[in-house]
Amino acid sequence: MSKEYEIFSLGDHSLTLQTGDKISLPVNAKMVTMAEWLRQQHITGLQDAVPSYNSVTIIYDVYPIRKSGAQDAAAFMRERLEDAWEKAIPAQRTALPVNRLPVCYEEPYCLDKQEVMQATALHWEEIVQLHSERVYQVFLLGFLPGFPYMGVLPDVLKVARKETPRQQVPAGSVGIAAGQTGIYPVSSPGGWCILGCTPVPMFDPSLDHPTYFAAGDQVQFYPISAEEFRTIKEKHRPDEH
Amino acid sequence: MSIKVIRQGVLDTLQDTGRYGFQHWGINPGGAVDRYAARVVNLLVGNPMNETVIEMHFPSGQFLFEKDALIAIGGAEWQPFLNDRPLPVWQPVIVRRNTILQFRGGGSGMRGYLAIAGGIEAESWLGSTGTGLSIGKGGFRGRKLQNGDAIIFKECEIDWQTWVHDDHLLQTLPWKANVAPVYHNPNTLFFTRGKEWDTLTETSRYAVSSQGFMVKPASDRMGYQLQGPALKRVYEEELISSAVTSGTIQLLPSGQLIILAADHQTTGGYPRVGHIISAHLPKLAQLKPGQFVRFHTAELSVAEKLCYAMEQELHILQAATDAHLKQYKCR
Repeated sequence: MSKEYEIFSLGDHSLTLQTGDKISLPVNAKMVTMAEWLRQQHITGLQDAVPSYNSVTIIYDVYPIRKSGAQDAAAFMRERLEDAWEKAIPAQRTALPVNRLPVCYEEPYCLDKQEVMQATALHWEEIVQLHSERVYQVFLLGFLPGFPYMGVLPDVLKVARKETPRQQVPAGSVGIAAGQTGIYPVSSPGGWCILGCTPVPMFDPSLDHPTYFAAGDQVQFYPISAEEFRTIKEKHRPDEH
Repeated sequence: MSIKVIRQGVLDTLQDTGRYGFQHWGINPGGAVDRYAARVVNLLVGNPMNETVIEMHFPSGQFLFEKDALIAIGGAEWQPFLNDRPLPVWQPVIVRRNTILQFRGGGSGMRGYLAIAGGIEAESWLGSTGTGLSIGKGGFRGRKLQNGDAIIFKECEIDWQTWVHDDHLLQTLPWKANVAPVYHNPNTLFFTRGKEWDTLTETSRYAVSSQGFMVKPASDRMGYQLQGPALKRVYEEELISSAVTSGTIQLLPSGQLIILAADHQTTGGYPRVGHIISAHLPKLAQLKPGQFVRFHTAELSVAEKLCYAMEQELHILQAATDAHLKQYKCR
């Protein structure tokens, strides 16, 4: 039987466990569960456990691990990863609530409307319906604080990244690229095709848990008008004193 | 009460040793790019290793001390001056109020560090005072230091004020750190092979280990962009994005390399050619644009040993400084 996973070093202070070479919901769910499990174990020297589509990376501090008696920090951490593979079992997916998120697909928020219509040969109404009818899984947060990589998009919406990335994508912009959809939590340069914008803040550094989503969350978008966008946006504005 | 910024530098920020544990939220570790230098200057003045320091890039700011302070400076080899008197580096110094600290450049290195005994009042966010520039949190109001900013320092438990001679503008205390071993051979960096190392062509693998790479001017706190021979892979395959860390060497589609630094993106999908070993990250942090760098492969076990040895040295320095401080108190 072939090995279910491989573990490789990411330098002398990190290890990655990787399984398979595809983007899949159950694999990602396993990785998210493993990362959470690892973070809860009070493992000496562990600084973080970061899930991705098909991998979990642990970042650690060599000093306390060796100080505690382990001769080889990498070997010590490799055992913890193997442990997590055995013991961290994802909960039943049906138990997870779906997070419904408003998105305005109208002007001026649908920055790449023409480009996406051209690439898919679909009407805008069809694109909006296809994008908003599906339940997505948050595979991971990365790139920017709180940026959720979500999938999987229907095949007809598979468009490539923009050839020339935008210098500035507004915060809240909802984009698609490479079979996935994501939301820019803060204004930043970006290469995804922008379909719309959500008025709900994806990242609020004043909160204890500053990111709106966590890896593993289930999400569905629902279309709102530009008017509704402004109303919701107003509600989320921080108090001005 | 404070240090006032009387002329702002190009990029002076408050930093500590980093914000760990939030990479799974997409939040990078940040903190001092040269964590070693930041820790050494702290230890020299009796601070905990992860106390807040000022990280400076050249040309750095000018700072007015409004109160006497026990400080230590390290990192890049610029020449610090207090008014017109040169200051020693990697050594604790008592500076008097109403004096101005500034730096003259020329020496090697990219980032300077200033620690103040007792530490600096700074905004903490997610357990770290490192300035997160992209989101405007932590450190000094989440931004770089500007003209007129007052950096408040905390009460110091060490009673060094009693050591002050009235007539001295600056007083050097008799202990210093020997950092030469860590910064020895500044242009040579060891790396462990990355997951995609073997996918490079033999010629490209040889080029990485044998040729010089130039640090491009676009390098910043996020990463070092390098200019070198265009590297090729045996085959191209799309990689699924996964977590990356400080020191990861990625191969860009152009065939050029980039090495991730403190403010790196938390995930990446570029091939991981290698990883700079932890013990050589201080040298990496001090590389200047235009400088050439060479790479040598190292086994993981060697990298880990060197990393542990460097950390042990820091703890020895901590113990030695504490002993010196106690002794000095008794004199």
